[in-house]
Amino acid sequence: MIDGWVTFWLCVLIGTGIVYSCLTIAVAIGGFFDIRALLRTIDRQHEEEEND
Amino acid sequence: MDDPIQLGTNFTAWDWVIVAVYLSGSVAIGLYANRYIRDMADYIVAGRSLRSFISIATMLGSEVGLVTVMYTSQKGFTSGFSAFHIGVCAGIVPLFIGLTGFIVVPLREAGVKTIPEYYGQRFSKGVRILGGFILAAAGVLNMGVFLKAGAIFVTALTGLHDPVIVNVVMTLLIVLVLVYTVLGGMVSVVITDYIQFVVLSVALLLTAVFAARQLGWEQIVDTVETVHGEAGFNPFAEDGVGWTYVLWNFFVFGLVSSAVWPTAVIRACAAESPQVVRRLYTFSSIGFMTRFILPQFLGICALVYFFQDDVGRELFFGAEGHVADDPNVTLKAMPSFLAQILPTGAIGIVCAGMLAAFMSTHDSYLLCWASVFVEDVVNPLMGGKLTTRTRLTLARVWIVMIAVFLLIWSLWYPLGQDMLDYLSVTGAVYASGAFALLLFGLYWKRASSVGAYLGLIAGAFAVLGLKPVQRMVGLGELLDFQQSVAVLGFSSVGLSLVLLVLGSLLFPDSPATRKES
Repeated sequence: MIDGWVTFWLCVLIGTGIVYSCLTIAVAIGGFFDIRALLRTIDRQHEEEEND
Repeated sequence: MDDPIQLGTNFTAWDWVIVAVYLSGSVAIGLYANRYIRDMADYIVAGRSLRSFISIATMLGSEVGLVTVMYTSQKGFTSGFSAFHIGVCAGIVPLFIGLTGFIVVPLREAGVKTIPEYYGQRFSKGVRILGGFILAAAGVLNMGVFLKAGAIFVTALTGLHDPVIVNVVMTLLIVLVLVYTVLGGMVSVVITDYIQFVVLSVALLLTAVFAARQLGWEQIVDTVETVHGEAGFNPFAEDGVGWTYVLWNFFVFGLVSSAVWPTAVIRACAAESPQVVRRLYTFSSIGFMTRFILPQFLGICALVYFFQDDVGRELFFGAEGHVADDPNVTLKAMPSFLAQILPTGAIGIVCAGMLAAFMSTHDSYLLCWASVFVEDVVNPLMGGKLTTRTRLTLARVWIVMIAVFLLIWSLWYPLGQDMLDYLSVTGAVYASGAFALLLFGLYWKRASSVGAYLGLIAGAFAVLGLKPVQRMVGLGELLDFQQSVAVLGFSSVGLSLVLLVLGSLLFPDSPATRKES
């Protein structure tokens, strides 16, 4: 009974580690560009408000 | 009194330099972000301009923090691999939410900044004020043990055992958080969360691999079996945590923490579009799962390491080899383990990442509870007439007041239970009623204001799950403790749902009220 659980939790642990590593890389790269876009958007919103 | 648990550490002056440089950088970014804040939308939801990747980073940056790592690793230490069920629950539910849009998409479409604002839109101003008050109170209470967790982590990792120095460090950290949260609002929170997510994720992954290699998988499994028996692997074993507790964690750490808990939902409200919300939850499900699994694994590694060590065994285990009963002791296991195995330099980076994550959780939470208090309690009470400038000032004042409360509560409150259980109970004080209101408010047209009031009040009974409260009312002897957290939690959720339905059927809103809503 325990062996089944050990295998299951090992798969969960390894799977989590692999998928999370991929997510971290993707978010690290994509997030950098999103922050640049965010700051530009807020600047633009403020400019539009000033123009109005 | 000095800390009796002193195991030595590899933490040196170089590690302090790494920590100081990293934290100074975070604060500088917060100060820089202040130039982007002009109104309440910029301050609370960053102008609703968050795209997918940064939404994921900021949600996980605030949800994967030092406190999370501490309480989840404690659960790994006290329950072994069976604690992984919490991570599995925490991953499955956000994935379901991401695929279906359950609760969060209609909320984003409602265009609200906070959940109580939705109560006001759907029910009435009074429901918004009561809901906002319960939310802010439960949220601040929930945050009450964060500083304690931070202090225990710093003590164990750095070898600073003088309580005065620890208190000075924690006060300094909270002051740094205050500086950049008060000035920068959501924009600074987003940027610092991003950096902290990346640093902490890399640190967590590498530390887990390093710990596993040091101890070896077979030794880990054998020790967990020796200490916990079958219950260390099978949550449904006879002496395991049991079905009720697993289902409760499915509700709290699956559904509530992702779709009802405001610090997570505020990300959905800040997202650029409903499509971004779905993507955010689908991908964040990986992070929600990982924030439990990896720290729990570190807790299990700490269990194995100290069980093999004579001094560690004496400190963390009872005479028969069972895990120590005192939650303040078991909380120290994971950081003490890291202090022993990580080399100088690596330990500084891990400490900086953890402390930065500690700050990022605090900034998000402080911002969230303060904005709820101002936007959903004070401003509606004043007839919605407060100017933007007054609301911003009030939010900043409230942030400082919460920080002062946290310092006092951390020193005063006797934990008495695993930190994870404390957090699930205090979270349920708000979440039981909020779940009922969101579920029926979004998906049942006949839900009424009276039903909403009853649902909110009934949810507050979840506070009976706190061990000191149980001792006070004599409930502790009636129920097995771990089960009682789940039983009382489900009872308050059930009561909220039933009373909301009954109240709505017996006292429906008048057509005029419904039209106004």
